[in-house]
Amino acid sequence: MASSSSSLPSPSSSSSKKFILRSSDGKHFEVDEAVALQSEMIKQMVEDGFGGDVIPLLNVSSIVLSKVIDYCKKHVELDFKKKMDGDNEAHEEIKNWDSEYINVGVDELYHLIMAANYLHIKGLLDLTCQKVADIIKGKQPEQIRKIFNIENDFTPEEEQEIRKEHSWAFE
Amino acid sequence: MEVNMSASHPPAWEVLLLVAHYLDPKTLAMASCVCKSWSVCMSSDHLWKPICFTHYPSLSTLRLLDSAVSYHRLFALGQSSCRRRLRSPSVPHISLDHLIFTMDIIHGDSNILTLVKSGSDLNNRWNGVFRFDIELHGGNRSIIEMSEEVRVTWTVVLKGWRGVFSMMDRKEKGRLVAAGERWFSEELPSLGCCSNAVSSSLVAELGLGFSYASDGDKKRRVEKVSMGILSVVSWGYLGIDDGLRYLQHFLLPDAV
Repeated sequence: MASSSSSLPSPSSSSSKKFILRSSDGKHFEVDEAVALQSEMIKQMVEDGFGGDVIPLLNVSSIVLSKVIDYCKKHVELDFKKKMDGDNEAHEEIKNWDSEYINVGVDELYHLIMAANYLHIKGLLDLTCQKVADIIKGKQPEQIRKIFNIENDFTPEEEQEIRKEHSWAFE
Repeated sequence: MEVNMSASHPPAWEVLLLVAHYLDPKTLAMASCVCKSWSVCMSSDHLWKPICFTHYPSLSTLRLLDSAVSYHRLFALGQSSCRRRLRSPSVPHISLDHLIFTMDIIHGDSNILTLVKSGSDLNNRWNGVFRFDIELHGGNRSIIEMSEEVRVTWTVVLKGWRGVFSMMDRKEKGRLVAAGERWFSEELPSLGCCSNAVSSSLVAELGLGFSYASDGDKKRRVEKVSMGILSVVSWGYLGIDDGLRYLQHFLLPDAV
């Protein structure tokens, strides 16, 4: 992609190679090579000599995939900017963009975590898991159940026992 | 943008396993108490081993001796071992209401003063310390010859006759202190633990306050009795709870 450096070579410059990703529900997404290679899983496929036109992603729905592609595109763009403008400014921009991006409901977070894990996108996995961890942090078990719609399947005796075992955390 | 934070369904097992790696020890422990599947997921040695080795390296090696103990359990032990040092003493098993104080002043064969006071009737004007003053009614016949020795006894009885403990049994003149009071002291026995602490450093103190009796200087009428437990280390009276904890050791030998 670095073939032409006259105009700012945006990562989506037409000279770069394209990949087509197919979601589990059969929709096609055309993305630049750099965007697709944000996924370690796709990178590995390519390195292993995958020769097809379309990369099938059996575990990712189109809704989730388009959101994942948003992330990859933005990060390719910001990584590029980081190289050009220096670290600090880009770092701040990535942080702001990420926090806006991750401001979604818990259900959507689950899907993004599964997709990030399946596609091996470390940055997205860190971002989404950390978000869920932040939601859990500092909450009592009752509050956690409510947020995650979890039924308490302990008997009162079992619950008492397990809380006793972890009593140090409640002090 | 307002986002609906509540989930429509619980997270899948895979999601839970992934997220667990991002939780700190306290949050992991809290999350273990959510439900059975979370408990299994959040308790795995896989998660706790590195945490345990970071916080309590030597404690963690105990796992090598006994593989039955899990790393999250070891971590909990490590946590509580630190907290135990800060733990305040247990609440006493007995209260003042359970006690009766009895005292006698005997001169020769004659009983000068006999006092029985229920703990619930003791007024504690000394603001939470183990010292009590009992005012006697005027006109009582408790006259003491100031130059003579008297025998002073003080006994604490646990109501229901479950225990009796002798705080003091002395025959002497007592120490004369300012305001004309006489004080009697007796060292209290140690609790029997911590063998290097030979003495308890505690003293039972009993004071008598007087008014002049009719016939001159030598005889005085007992107007006030003060009783307390004094620590000779801090030179102050014990707090009431400390006093009760001390007494329960002798009054409730089976409970301690």
